[in-house]
Amino acid sequence: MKTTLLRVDDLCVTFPGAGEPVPAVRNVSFALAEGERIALVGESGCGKSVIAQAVMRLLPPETAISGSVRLNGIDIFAQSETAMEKIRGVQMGMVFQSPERALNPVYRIGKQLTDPLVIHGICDRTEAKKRVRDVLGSLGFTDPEWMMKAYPWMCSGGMCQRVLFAAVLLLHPQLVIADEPTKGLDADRLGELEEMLCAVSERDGAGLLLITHDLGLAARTADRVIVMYSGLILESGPSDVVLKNPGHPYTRGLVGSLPENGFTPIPGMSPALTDLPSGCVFHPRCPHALERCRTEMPDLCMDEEHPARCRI
Amino acid sequence: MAFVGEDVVLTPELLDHLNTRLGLDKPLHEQFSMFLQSILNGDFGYSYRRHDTVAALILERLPWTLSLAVTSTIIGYASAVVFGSYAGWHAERRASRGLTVAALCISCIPAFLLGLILYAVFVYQLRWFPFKGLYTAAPDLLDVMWHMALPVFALSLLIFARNLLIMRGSVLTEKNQLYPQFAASLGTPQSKILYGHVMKNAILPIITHIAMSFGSILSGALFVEIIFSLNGMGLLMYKALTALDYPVLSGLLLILGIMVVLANIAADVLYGIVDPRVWRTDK
Amino acid sequence: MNTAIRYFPAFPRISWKPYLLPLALISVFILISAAPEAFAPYRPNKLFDPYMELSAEHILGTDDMGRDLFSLLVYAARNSMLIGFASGALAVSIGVAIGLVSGWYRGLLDDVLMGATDVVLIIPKIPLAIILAAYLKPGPWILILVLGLLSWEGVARVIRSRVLQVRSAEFILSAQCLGFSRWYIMTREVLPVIFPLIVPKFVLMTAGAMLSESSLSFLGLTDTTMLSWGTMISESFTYSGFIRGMWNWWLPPALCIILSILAVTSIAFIHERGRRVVIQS
Repeated sequence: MKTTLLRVDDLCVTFPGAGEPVPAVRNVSFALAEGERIALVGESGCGKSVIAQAVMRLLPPETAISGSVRLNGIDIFAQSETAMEKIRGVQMGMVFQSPERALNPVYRIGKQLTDPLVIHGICDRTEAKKRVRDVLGSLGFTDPEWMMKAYPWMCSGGMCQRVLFAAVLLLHPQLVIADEPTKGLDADRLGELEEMLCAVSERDGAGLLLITHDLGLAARTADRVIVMYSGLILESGPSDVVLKNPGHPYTRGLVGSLPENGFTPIPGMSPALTDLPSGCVFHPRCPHALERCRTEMPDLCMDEEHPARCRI
Repeated sequence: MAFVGEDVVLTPELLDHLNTRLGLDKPLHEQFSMFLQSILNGDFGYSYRRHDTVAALILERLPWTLSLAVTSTIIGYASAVVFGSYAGWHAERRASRGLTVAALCISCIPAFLLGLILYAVFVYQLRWFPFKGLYTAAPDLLDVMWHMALPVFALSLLIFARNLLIMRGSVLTEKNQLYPQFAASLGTPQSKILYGHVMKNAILPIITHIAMSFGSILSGALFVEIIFSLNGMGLLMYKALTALDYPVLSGLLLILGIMVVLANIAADVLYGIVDPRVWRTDK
Repeated sequence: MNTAIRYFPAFPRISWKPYLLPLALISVFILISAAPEAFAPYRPNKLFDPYMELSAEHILGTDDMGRDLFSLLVYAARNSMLIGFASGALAVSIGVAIGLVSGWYRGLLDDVLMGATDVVLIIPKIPLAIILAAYLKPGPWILILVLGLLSWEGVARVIRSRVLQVRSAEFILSAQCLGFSRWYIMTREVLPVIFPLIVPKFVLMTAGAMLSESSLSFLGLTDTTMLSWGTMISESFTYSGFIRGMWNWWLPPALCIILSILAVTSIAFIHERGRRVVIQS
């Protein structure tokens, strides 16, 4: 029985918003075991990136958060900021969505990569530089020296993304979160991306939380898939099962909208988070909606093998 | 050499003689080139009121005005950067809001009014500081510092107030960028994120602003000098205005313009040092 | 399971309430300047005994010539407000026109206009205004012209960069494809995009003009018959009101200047706070 690396219980995140509060994430629970790879999939705005930021505790101070997040048994929300600074990077790391914007434009890449090693007291600066050079080489850079002296805006998006992965690899965190890594990448780079994703989670006991809207990537990379919609988990299960045999009409619609499956879109649009439909959140767009879907919201039990938030 | 005074009758021949001597009978573009040439030779004209060359008058007072302006700039900007970063980074705290409101109020006070109020309170009522001038008997460092304390305070306060707001806004903008989040995700401590990563980016608008605002800092210095009767370029300008001493006025404006241009060049260079994106050759 | 809700301190919601105080203040000033007769107890030229103390008939006493100081204060509001707002309007109009044309046509016209803008930007305004004022000894309208003509470059730059951004936006291209004239596009499509920039800039220009006017009046460089808060302070200086410690002469106009500039600047500041934008003066 593998030990649980990350455990999220009943997480709710609400932003204050301009007028009324915006419930971005509602009652999300899941567990990531050591060595496991989970993909959170869903449309833009369904709350998956918010979960990642909540786990890292990077949300702005005015956000209302309830529930608990445990990493290796440590309650993340109970830690002080100083304690979090020791946890971040070393026990959990994140690869961000826009690689060029995630790097500071006025500092050289080498400095930005060696700094975290020195700050966490892992090694001194000379040793850090050597490690950075090695990691950059292993990620496919032919001239690590140039890369270390370069600034982020001198590099393409793909190169910056490899730098982000390098930053994460250097610190060997147990939990790696990859937030929409395919954004802004050319199609021919996808293969390299998948290699990097596997590389960061190859080590013993490392876990990967992949956040993406690319179902194919999720299928190829992840062991389990969690489908989200409007801040709720709608379905969860092993990736091949969920995507070949979906338990929820929404997942079925998602799979059906893939180009290789006919490109059939789901009718309608996802609701605004401040104006959610009553009962089941998906019922206005569901082809199988019953009368009681309008009034009752189905439950989800995450302990099952393949739970789905649907009565049908 | 003949001089025209109240007790000399102005004959037509004298007038002609003066016209030729001053080059007033030549066409305008020639007069302008004569002007440029004499500038390059260091001849800024002659003040009939003061009986001295404009160059000498200005040169005597330039160091004082510059020291007032530069000292206030350094104190004002340094404190604005420090307090502005704090106010921007911890924007929810009461201290930050208090600082912001105070800075807003102070930045609305014209330079001369601030000097006036400080003068009324600290010199007139409390007699803590001297009435006028740069020094009492001779330019002794401590004495000068005592005389200049209040003017420097007034000017620095104005610079501090205005730039605190800019720095605060700049830090607020940078706070929402992605790179501070990324640095935080790697476990960088908050203080290092603020003073290492964010500050270097947030300070860029301030550097640009130094260039643009040097003109207003100088004019603030002028007003402060007038209020505190400091014998610098401000007082010279004031007296030249009342006496309509045009050569002095033109010379002053020229010098002020040159100083502003130099400040702009310095700021451009400084910006290039801080922000490497300037050296981009693509696009 | 932990169900405690952790509310971290929240930013205040942006509503119209913060605007109330500065807007009310500025409205009071504008009202006073529009109808001074309603607020002042006497006409400003009516003479009483000079140097009178504060009393029930003369709330602020009288000056060296015997004019009631409170009435002077009220009547002086008009010039201070007028010069401030009119200069602001002028500066913004010129700035918007130049920014719009420069950003729209680009090319050589843009370069020329921006070069001119750079020149105006570099010139130290107050010294130039001082010297111009010395030569011209202006009344309110020339002052408005001078101040307006020296302050437009900030507006022009900001407008131009926004126009450049909008210029290549798709809705402009589609409007052009549909055959609308350039003029129509500029006024109907581009102007609404620029409008949010104009309001805070106008407000800031007005504040700057009020500051400059009071400084220039204090130096005695404006028309001596023009009555403004700045000239009141200047007179208190020259006619030994300061030396005599007559704070009732120079302090009320000083406070009025500060409060009016503060009210105007607060409006701009609160407006920008709603958009989390750096304040540019």
